[in-house]
Amino acid sequence: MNRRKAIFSIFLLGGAGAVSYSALTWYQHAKTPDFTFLNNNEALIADLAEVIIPATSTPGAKDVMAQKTIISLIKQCEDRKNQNNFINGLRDIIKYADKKFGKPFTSLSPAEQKTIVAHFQEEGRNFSGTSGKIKNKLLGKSFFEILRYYTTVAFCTSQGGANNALAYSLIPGKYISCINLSPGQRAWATK
Amino acid sequence: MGQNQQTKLINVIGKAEVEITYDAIVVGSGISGGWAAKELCEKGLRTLLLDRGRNVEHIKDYPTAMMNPWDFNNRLETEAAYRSENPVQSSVSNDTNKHFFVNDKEHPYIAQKPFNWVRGYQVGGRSLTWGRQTYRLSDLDFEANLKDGHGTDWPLRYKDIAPWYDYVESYVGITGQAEGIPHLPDGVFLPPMEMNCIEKNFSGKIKTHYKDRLVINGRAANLSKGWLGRGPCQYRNLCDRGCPFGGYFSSNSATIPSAAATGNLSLRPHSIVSQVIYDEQTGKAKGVIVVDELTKETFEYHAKVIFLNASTVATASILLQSVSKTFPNGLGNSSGQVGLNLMDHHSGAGASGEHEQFKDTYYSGRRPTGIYVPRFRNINGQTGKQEFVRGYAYQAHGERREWKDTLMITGDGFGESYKNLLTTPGPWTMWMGYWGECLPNAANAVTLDHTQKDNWGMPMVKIDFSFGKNEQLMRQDAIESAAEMLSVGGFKNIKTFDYNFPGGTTVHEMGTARMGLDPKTSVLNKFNQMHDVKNVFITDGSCMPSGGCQNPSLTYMALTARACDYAVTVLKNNNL
Repeated sequence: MNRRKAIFSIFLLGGAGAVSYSALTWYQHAKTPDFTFLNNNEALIADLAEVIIPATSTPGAKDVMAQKTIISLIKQCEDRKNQNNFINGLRDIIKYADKKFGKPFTSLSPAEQKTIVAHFQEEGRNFSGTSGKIKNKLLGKSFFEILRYYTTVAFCTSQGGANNALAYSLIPGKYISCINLSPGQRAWATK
Repeated sequence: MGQNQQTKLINVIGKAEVEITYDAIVVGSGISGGWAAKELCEKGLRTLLLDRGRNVEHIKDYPTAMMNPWDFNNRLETEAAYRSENPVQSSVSNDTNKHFFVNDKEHPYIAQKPFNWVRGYQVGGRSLTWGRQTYRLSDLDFEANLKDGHGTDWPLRYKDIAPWYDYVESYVGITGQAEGIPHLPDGVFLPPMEMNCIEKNFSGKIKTHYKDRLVINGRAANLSKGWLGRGPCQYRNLCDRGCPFGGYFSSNSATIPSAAATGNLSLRPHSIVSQVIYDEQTGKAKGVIVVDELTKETFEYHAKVIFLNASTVATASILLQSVSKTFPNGLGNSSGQVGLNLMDHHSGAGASGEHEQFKDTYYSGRRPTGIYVPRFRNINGQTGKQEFVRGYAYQAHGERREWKDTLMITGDGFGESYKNLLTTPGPWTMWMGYWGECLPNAANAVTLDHTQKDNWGMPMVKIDFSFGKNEQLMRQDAIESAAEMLSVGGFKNIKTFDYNFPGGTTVHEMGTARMGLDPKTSVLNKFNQMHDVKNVFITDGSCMPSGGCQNPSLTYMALTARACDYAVTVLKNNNL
């Protein structure tokens, strides 16, 4: 059991933890999400998404305007708890970038941006098994989990991502049950 | 759809005629009602087909069918508001097909224990969104109740229904392969949709290792070649949006156009049947009372013969609502059996695994069916299991892991290596889920709550259903056996799963107006004719005395065609 898990277990058991949850954390989860802040940080979200899925020989998250989809999906499809987690996470990113490099995230080099995202991945890494499920139910998903999920969905379901980074066909017309994998064969975008 | 149907549709929708007489009325236009309309119309009966929802015309009313993932605002994700407003329907529907499912808020019901009542209130019903798996029952199923004492005996045997399976399959078009398995009879098949590399390998391994088990091609109502002007399948695997190519069977693509082509069909959408009218003088049903879904006005339609195909729970509730002096407890309910013995297959559990080999192979096109492991428990003395009676089958499919599963399975990772993982075919995987038989049990029942009414003044439907000990024991065996078979198949990292679906989630509701030999213990005779009211026939899932473990729609279709043939024969002989 690592330190974070140990603390979380104490939190689950302890009455003091429950009290502190019901005060501050509850407010952080239940308050009306600040969508203006979310909308205003499109450029930051674009850079974060590009760190998750960068352009290589094929398009990356920015090329397919993943940031716009991410913002829209978080507003439409997420529950309030995770909406707040994501928005609070953006604020934490801004603060952390300033503390660590003294610059806004969007002004950092790709390597510096990676360092920051890696930090938040570590922070947000969920526990396996039951305590992980309880944590997600109680506290919602971590900022990194939400960012990674919607970046991936936005990218893989985009026209550019599906056609140019993956392989896509709306009307295959025929089914070939076994083919030899050709060099560089990309995965299908849809099942 | 044909011009005839269009013309008739407009006539009937007009409010001028308060009372219209037809030869036949069919209540419900889903998979069995569509067949009843087709058969009755083709046999020359002027038929009124009623559906409680809006009309859905083939091709024209499939708004999402040609949409790409990026054409959906929510990119195939489900809206939070939709999920919270539709806790039941959203368990099986999604952003691409939700227009073919009811709104839970508009259509409430009382579930005394968790039960997902999945409904599609539109012309074509759930035939638009069904799973299309089509397997025949056999005498192993038809004799099961008699042999182990659960429920009451079927009033027919395989030989009685076999020609009708042939008949409906010849029209529907079923992809499949003959295997000569006695308890899963072969049918009239179009070419099979082939197994992929991992499935072929799995099939071979299972055949070598087990004496009692086979892995066969899925049998499905998908057209592997063009059939009667429909299809062929374009391998899009987007069936539940409605298929603009007519690549799978639905009432909308097949039976309703066939019925309309005769000139004998009148289709009236927005028609909620509140009751079947019983005539005390003649001892027969006179017609039905319809409440217009939109205007809430009441209409009466009369006919010589009435087919109830509203779907299991709805048919039971119509019967229970149809009270008269002779039938104070519901039409044709002298046995007290109407509403009892509700069944649903249990599913949503099994195992999955990964395979390390065949990394240089893939597939092209999206096959709309999978592979199937026919029932192997309690077939004969050698395959008997002490713990439970009856059995289950598996549906399975092999595939290479693709981006969505990679996203879900890997909790972290980002950057170039993660992108590579998403965009190249992952390891071969196999998913195996079981579909198990549910014993008939009178405690699983549909009743009415007269103190609560829905938006159309109908008493609220109350469903009291739970799976029993036999189902639970079978489930355990199915989970363990799936893991074992995957291990035999050479799979690694095998994980069992159990989604804990409540009843109803398989969307195979059956029972509630069972067929039987004895009018004291059953509602329908061997031709799906009410024992008590001879001109009423019920051929949807409610007629089933037991459910087998096979997907049931094919059997409803065969029973419907058979019942129509009988009904028209006796009608012509003036015996109805």
